[in-house]
This record gives sequence, structure tokens and C-alpha cells, in this order.
Amino acid sequence: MNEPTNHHWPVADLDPVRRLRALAAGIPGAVVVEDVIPASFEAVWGIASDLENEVPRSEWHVRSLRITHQEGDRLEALVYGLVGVHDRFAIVLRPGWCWMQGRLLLAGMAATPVEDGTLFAFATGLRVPGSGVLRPVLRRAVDRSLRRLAQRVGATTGEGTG
Amino acid sequence: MPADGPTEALVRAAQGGDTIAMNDLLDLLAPYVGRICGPIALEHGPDAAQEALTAVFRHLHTLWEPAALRGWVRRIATWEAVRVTRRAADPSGRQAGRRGAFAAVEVADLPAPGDPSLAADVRDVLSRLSPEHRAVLVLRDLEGLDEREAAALLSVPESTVKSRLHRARSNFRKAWTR
Repeated sequence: MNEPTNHHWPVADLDPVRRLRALAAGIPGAVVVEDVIPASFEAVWGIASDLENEVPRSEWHVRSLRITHQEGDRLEALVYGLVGVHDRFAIVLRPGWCWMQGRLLLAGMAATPVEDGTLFAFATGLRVPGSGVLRPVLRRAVDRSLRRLAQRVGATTGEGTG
Repeated sequence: MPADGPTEALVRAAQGGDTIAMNDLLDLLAPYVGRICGPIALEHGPDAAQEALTAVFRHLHTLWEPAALRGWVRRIATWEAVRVTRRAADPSGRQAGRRGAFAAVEVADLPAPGDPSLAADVRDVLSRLSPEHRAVLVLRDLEGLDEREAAALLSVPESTVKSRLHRARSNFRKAWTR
């Protein structure tokens, strides 16, 4: 789809949050939560994209995340859980966008500047059949992650909510 | 978008639950969908593009032949762009069934040839057309479909739009190329 375009015709731009909504729609049982964090995009994404430090901080079931390989926006990471289980994740990370795929768990983040701060979205899902029944549980988990991120941003920059 | 091997492999992987492949497919499709939805939905373009890609990923498992991806996505994006624009103009939904009710397009409304603000004029002219007219212009002028194919994609009779659209398109093209 890289053919030449007529530059005079309007083109609809899809920000990362809109992209995340669309992608999650194709994953059975996936949930997306979003909120506006009253801080600049740079402040919010600077914290959220620091995966090695922030994922263990915001996800109670993660003991550590170590990036083992990086090439452009493609990363691989080894994630150790609290009970000793580990999983290898394939990650796409670029400004405003992060998508992570493990054997069982999926996670995504997206952010875009808005008038009163940064619209931020978390998505998560499970790569198992019938995971739709766990949607309420997943929703609570990403709700919590979003609140923690807003608190972290507030504590770090003095801009976010507490 | 070429129906090439890597793209077909990407579709197969995404259908199989590989969400990194879905991520890559999204990267591939978003600009294409944006080029279709932008001229049809205008200020509602981002909403239309999101709705179109949501439908694409929600129904990707139904695409049996990955080589048909471009045509399938084109149809979804066109329909979603018209639907979202109609919905925004009439939230009650009373106009939802009037897909064939094309608005009048007067050639005199089109900008004169040589107008200096070319980019702005395209948007201005498009804004004078119905979403269905814009859809046919996009399908023909950007996507290269003929009138029969465009009418079929939009499920409208070719005769309903052919003569009026031909005049509008002819003047539209003259305005941009002189």
C-alpha cells in the first residue's frame, strides 16, 4: 500500500490510541481502558516506555523485565513473574506505541497528545480460547495499571493526578 | 497494496493469532485506509478510519483469500466512511437507508481553473458533494475503479450517478490539472 498518493486529497490520520482500539477489536476477550493524564506526552511516554523499570513497578505479578535484544522498534524481553514463571515477549516499541506478545499474555500501550494532557490507553488480552470470560478481571487489572501510571507521572513531574 | 507473498503471509499469521503480525498489518493498512476515509469522511476521517480498521480486524478471520485483502479493505473503508459521515450528519439514523439519495452537484459550484489555493480547494469541492459522491470520486480517481465497479461496490445503480458524476468529475479534474 505504498503507491504514490495525490497530496491534495485529505488523508485521515489515525493516532496511536485509535490504532490500539482497532487492533484490540480483533483479539477475542481483549480489553482497552483509556484516560487523559494531565501531563505532557513527553512526560507520560518517558515513564511508560521505560519498560524495564516501569512494568515491574506497575504490574504486581511481574518481578522483572529484561530486554534481551533490540533492533529498531523491535525488542525481545524476558519477563519473570513473582512465582518464578518466565515468559519471552516480542515487543514493538515506538513513540506513543507499544505492543507486547508473550506465549499467553498480550499487552499494549498507546498515547497521543490532547488539549488537556495526554490520552493514554492500556490494552491486555490472553492468547487462550475462551478468555472472554476473564474480561472483568483483565479490565480491573488495566484500570489499576492506568491509575498507577497516572500516579507515577504525577509523582515524577508534579503534573499528573495522585 | 500489492497482493504479494509477504502481505499474504502476514494476513495468514494474523488470522492465526499472531498479534505482532496484526501490528504489522495495521502499519500496512492504516495509511491506505486513511487515504480512502479522508476524502470521503472529511472532518470525520479519523473516526471513519478507526471504525474501518476495527471492522477489518474484527472480521479478518472471514477473509478466506489473503490476495483479496486490498479490495476487501477498500470496500470496508468506503462503506464505513459513508456510514460514519451520514451518522454524524444525522445522529437519529433516519437517513441511514438513503444510500442512493445522491445530493445535487452543480458544476458551477466547482472552483475555477487556476485557483491558487489548490489543496484547500480540493477539500472545499469535496465538502460540496454528498458522501456517496465523494466515495465514487475516491474509488475512481484514487483507486482507479471504473463507474460500474464503483457503483457495484457502493450497491447503487450505475445509471443513477453516471451522467451527473461524469460532469462533476470532468470539471473537478480540470480544476486541479490546469
